[in-house]
Amino acid sequence: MNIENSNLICNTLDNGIILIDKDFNVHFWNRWLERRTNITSEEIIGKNIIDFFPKIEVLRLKRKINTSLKLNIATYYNTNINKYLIDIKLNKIANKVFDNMQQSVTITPYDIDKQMVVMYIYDNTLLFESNYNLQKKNKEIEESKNEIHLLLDATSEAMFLYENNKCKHLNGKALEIFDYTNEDELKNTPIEDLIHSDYKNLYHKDISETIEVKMIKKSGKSFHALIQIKNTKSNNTNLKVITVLDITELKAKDKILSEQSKMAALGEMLANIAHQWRQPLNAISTISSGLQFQKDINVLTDSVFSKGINDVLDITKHLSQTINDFKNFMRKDKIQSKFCIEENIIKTLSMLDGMLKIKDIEIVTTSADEKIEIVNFPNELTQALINVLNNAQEAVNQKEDGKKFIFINIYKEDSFACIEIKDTGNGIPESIIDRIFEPYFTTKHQDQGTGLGLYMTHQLIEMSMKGSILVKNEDFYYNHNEYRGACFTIKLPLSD
Amino acid sequence: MNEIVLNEDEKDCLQELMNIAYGSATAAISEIVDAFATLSIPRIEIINSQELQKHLSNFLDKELSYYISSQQFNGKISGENLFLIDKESSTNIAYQFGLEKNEINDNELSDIVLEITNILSSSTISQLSSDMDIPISFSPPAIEVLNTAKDIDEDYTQKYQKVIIISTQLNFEEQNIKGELLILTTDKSIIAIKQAINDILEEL
Amino acid sequence: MKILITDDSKMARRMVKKTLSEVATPEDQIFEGVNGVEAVELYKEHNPDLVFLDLTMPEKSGFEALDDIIEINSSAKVIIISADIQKTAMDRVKESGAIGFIKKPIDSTKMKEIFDKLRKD
Repeated sequence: MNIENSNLICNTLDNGIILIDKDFNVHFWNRWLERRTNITSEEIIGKNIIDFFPKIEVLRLKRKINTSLKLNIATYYNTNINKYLIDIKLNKIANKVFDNMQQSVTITPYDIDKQMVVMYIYDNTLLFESNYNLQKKNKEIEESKNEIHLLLDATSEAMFLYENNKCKHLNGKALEIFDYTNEDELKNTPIEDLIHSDYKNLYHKDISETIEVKMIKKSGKSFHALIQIKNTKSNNTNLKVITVLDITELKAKDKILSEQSKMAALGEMLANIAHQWRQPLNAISTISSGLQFQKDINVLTDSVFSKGINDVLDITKHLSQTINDFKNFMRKDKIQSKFCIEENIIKTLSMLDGMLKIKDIEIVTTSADEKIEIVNFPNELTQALINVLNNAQEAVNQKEDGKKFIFINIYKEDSFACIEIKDTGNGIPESIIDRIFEPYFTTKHQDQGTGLGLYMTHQLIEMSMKGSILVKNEDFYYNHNEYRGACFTIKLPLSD
Repeated sequence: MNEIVLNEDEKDCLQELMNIAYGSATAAISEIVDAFATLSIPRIEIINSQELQKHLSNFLDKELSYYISSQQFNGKISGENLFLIDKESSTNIAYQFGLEKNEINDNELSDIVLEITNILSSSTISQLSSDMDIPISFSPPAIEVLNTAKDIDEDYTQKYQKVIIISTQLNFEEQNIKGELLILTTDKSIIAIKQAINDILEEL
Repeated sequence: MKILITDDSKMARRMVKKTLSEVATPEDQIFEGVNGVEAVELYKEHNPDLVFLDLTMPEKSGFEALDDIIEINSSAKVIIISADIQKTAMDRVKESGAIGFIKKPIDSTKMKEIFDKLRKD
């Protein structure tokens, strides 16, 4: 290859080429450099490069040129470390990252006798701009990641993120709930293995609803939990988020609530029994002391005596029956049975009979012509009705004047059997009507009310009997009189 | 995947070739640094690439901070040279180069370590290349600061399946400079290495 | 002539033997050692006329073995064949009494030169 050809190549190459000796005198300066530095070949050849680029670190360049010549190997300027050798200002305006061209340089021996090397200058600006931007993005991503981790660790649920069925992330709560210290260990444990054997049948990889199960900690201890799974797809990756909520505390609270409710129910029952028995006991007392008195003054006749005894026997039979009723009632229904709603209401009313009569409350019952029968838990309906009726009677009692009524209406609507209980007690204040079914909510004094009656009713009707109960205030007429009161509507599903 | 096995003779031959290659490199360095280095006997190990990180961490003293620089070489035998040197040793090299204390900073040290790596790597591989009669070319070296072995790029493990490590220590005792030289290459290159070794053995 | 070759590498020893075979005669006896300790012991035992010694060896380095051998016989003829070609190394062994230094790998030309030189002395 002749000089012309090699000159052509050197001057059309997209790199800088400098021929330089160990004293830094320039022997060749190609066109690429001329254009970018605005220094012509003629100006720089034969001169010292340091005169044109005084910022060059002389010792470093000397070392590299010397090594190259001494050992006959290539030496380098690394862009990361050195940024650039020849100071070339960049003219970019938009998206400018660097002021100067970022360069890497290769120095190879050219003529060892003459102690000359070739320096190849490469423009790495684009590469390093990308690197810079990449690093910036990485930093942003890192910050986002940290934010996300903060969020994930702030929740009270354990969270597991699966990518293509392999656990990629879990939060601090997961380690806490399951008692693991080693993150990788927990990541490599499949969820199925964490579920108690009794509940394993409830779980399979593709369930989409929340399920309640028992789970096992690392220590072997088990606890109640809610598991929820969300499946999505993103960029051809199957993503799954599993959240686990430890409901031990909730369940404990629930248990307490349920026990308190039971206690409250018992209390109410006993109060009812007391009411039921007061009048009959009074009657027995009256009759007995009457008989005794008549005997004492010798006016007791056989027929008076017989009638008296018979009355007492009737009353004790009645008392016995109420005990049976209550015993029956206290036994929780285990199975559903078919029963007539009207009969159930009549039985319920008989339990409250004593109390209602004393307070001078009139009960008006209306029902559809046909017998409405349903298959459900009769005792639970009775219990629910007792609570509502208690509430109604208290409401009407608070009115000083006017007649005291409780209206009970039984009817069919669509596929439901409906029981409507209305009172004339002026209604429930709008400010609290939305809260009356809440547990522990009561307007009564602490000693008088537990606030659990209507809550229990709500639970019984909606959870256990699968029906619904609503309350609203109503203005209505009865016998040409206008009344206002609370209206409870209980709907129970009719069987087919 | 072929099981890489070097028989006694092949191993011995490779060992000797490495001895010569490293000898050449050390001479080059000591000329530049102007000090005397003790050459140690090169060790040859073949490990699974998954063990690389763990293996490399054995070369590192937990208390120290290291520069690790690497230079790729290409040809029928390809791979990379790794040079591990702790910060104190590299500072001492800088002193040997005539730098003053106030001139020494991370940037300066990085440049020096890159130089050393280049010299060692070029000499070693050039010698091997000529002894084995296989043309090899180089890429410019790159450098990273390592604080723990975990910083070693995990990508290594995807590139290679089995890694052949040929290591030796570079020890300038008087100047308190200590470094570790490693050549990493892959199962693909072993075929070329075996061939070259057997050609040499045949001549004997 | 009795010749001692010491190198921890079998291949290195083979290379020396091969190049030797081109200049040596069938009557020449060749002994081999694998480290510095053996080098000294074999020297004591056989008192070879010529010693080829490597520098990087286990147990005892070539530098030390050289010193020990010279101590046994100050006119021992020891030639260093090594990969360690630092100038300082070369100077050091010369000072210790080595009569020659060959850069590895050895080849026939270098070996011939050595023998020619020896024959002249």
